[in-house]
Amino acid sequence: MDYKRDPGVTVPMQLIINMPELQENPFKERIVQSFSEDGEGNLSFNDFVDMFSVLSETAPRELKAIYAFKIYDFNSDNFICKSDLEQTLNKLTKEDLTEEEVMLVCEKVIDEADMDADGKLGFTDFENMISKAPDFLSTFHIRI
Amino acid sequence: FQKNSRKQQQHPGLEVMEDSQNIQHRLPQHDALTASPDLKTETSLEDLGDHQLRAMPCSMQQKRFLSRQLNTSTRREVASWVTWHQKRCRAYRQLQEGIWNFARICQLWKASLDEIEAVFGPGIQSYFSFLKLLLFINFLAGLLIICFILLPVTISHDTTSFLKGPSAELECMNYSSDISHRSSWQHLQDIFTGDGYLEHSYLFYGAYRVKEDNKNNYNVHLAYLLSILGYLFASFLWILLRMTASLVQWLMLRWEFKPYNSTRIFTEWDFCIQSPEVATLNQRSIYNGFKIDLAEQTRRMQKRQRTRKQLSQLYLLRLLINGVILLLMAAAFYCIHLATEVSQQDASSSSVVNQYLPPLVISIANVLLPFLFHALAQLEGCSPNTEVNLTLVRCMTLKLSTLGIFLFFLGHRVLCTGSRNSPQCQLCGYNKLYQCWETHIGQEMYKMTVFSFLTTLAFAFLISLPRRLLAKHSSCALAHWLGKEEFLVPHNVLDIVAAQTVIWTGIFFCPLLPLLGCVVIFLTFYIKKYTLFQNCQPSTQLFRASHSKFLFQIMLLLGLFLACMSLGYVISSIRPSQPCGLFANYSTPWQAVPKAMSHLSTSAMLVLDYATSNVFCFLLLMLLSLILTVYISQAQANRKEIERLKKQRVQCVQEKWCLIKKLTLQLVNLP
Repeated sequence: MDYKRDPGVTVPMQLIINMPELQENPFKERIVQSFSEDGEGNLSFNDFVDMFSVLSETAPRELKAIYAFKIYDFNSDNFICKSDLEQTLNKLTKEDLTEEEVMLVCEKVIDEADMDADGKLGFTDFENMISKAPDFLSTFHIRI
Repeated sequence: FQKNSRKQQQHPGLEVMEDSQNIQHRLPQHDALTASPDLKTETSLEDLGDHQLRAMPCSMQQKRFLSRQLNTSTRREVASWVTWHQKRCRAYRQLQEGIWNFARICQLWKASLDEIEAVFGPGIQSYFSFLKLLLFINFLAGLLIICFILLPVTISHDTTSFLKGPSAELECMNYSSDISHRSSWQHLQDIFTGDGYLEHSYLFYGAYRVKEDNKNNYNVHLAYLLSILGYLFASFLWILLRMTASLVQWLMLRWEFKPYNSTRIFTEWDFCIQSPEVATLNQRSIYNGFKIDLAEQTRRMQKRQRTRKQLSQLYLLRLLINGVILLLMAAAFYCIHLATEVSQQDASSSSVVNQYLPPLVISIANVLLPFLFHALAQLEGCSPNTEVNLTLVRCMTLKLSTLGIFLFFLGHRVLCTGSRNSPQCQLCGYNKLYQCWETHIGQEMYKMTVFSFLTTLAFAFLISLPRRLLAKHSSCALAHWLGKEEFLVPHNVLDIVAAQTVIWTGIFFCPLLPLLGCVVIFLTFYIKKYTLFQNCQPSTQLFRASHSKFLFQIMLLLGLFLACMSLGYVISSIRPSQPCGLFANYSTPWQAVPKAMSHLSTSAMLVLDYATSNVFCFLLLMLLSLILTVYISQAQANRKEIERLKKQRVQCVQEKWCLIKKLTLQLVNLP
């Protein structure tokens, strides 16, 4: 196999999410899926480099916001709807919050961030909200 | 009003959405994810800079392809100087990036800071970055002093006896630098007290002397004053710059702009975490955060329903608690006063413990009282966040005011600040028991610095270590309740800021104190890192890195003010000691400046006279207040504009849904 001319090798998702940098991350499957070309989570070398380049310290904020939106959009419909939010929250708190509390928090989030009142967060809403969060750049990066 | 109107619109919006799904798919999607760079035209390709190329959300392969196209495109006829200019810009930017990358690799402690961030998170890492910062500040001070003061003084070394000034009294010149009668045990004690060999070395002010009829053009007195004052002023400017950089972020966090819950879900998980225990703790603290927020909502509802009687009771309780806190602080001040008196009784022959009494009492006060503050704050009935912040503010006030009170009592005793006419002070202008009072004050500052380092060491090895061993090997209820120590960032930062304040205050009396400070900070970094990794568990209170920068800068600024105030008072109003030091023949150290200025030309003197006159200051003040008024009114106008734009946005949303409804109805009614 000539790796230089035809680098068609892909690494399966199971190997990548067992990396020490990603192991403890609750969103590891989504991260790997959003950078893979086939959407299944199998990364070629270029995809792998892309992933760590976007998650590095010096990536620009806009680029990180774009990929963060992709990661948190679980059903890949280009909107973060209520079910996406519920899944995010459950992964974050390992399902410790009761259903009622989860619903309350998700409603609050949509209340605060939804600008065009369609009941879900589009990319502009997300980016607007992220721009007001000073912690985003320092938490959304993986150090290799 | 806004929330209600939005809620009303959500229901028709959701209804209409089911009808208009098809229409929305036909509408153009302004989605950055679906914008493909292949659709860009050739002209816009040429305009892409490297920076914009980096921020594009496509894969590296496509970016490489695009940048290759950019570099080799010769479609347009451009002037040769344009391409040359572009090439030069690109080379310059690459050079900048190369230097920047190289500097990032060579940073001090980079590996340790990365390790701490990976295991404990950016909040705790900010404390260690702050330590690094203070190390550089002190190193800069040390460098300045060595270059501008120490080297010139050692070069023009004066071994002759002191020239007596015109108003010298015999009783005020009774200072001997004879250290031959000291035993080796005393020499060991001298390291801790700054007496003996250290007292007459270049560590303290007393050893700096120059010949009076110096033929060199270098005015050492002026250099001494101006380098110290200039360094303090530069530190002030620099802290101010860093504060304003984080002030904007802090303003954004105010409740008007704060989309708190939404950002919390998306930005609170730290992607750097690699160890499972820290992950569990992080997850628990996020969970606690949500619980606290939900509890806060119910609390707010309860608060609205409080009766008048309950409210008045609560205010009375709060007043009482504040009164108790003030009483406690007054008691601490009295203890410090007693300790200062005892330690200054007989300066030359008292034991080491006696001399260390004031720093000891200050440390005890600063360890015990925060516990009481914490307990009292819980009775006040505030939300947990307010409670933590309030305790922090009180601890900060306590630390800085204990230091200030100590300096006040020391000055009262050594410099006779309140009692100029007492028999000891009338002759020399300062207490004649302290023949070289600057060195004496310098020794006090030196002792405080050494003591703070010893405290750090003692806490690390005598308290944290046994606590960890107890928690690990014993199973009694006490050990379980104590647990391992938690690394509380704000309190550690307060300690280091207090130490830095001492260094800043002592820089006039003990010029090489910043270098000692460098050594102390360097060792403190490794001791704290050891404590963190071996004896501490990650704190359950997530300390946000974004709040920390602003908080640290404010603490540092307050410390700097304290140091500057005390130094300013000493430099401008106290008679320097006569048998030692640089300013022996001046009435105050500041006199060196007018004396040096009298050698300037008459036109320069005229300009300076005008610049320091009352009229000019008044005009400057008027100008500054005018500029301030302009900025404040601009900020108010911006705020009103933001409110107006918010209302406009709500109206636009309502219009959009009306239009979509109309359009759907029209399309549904089409044949």
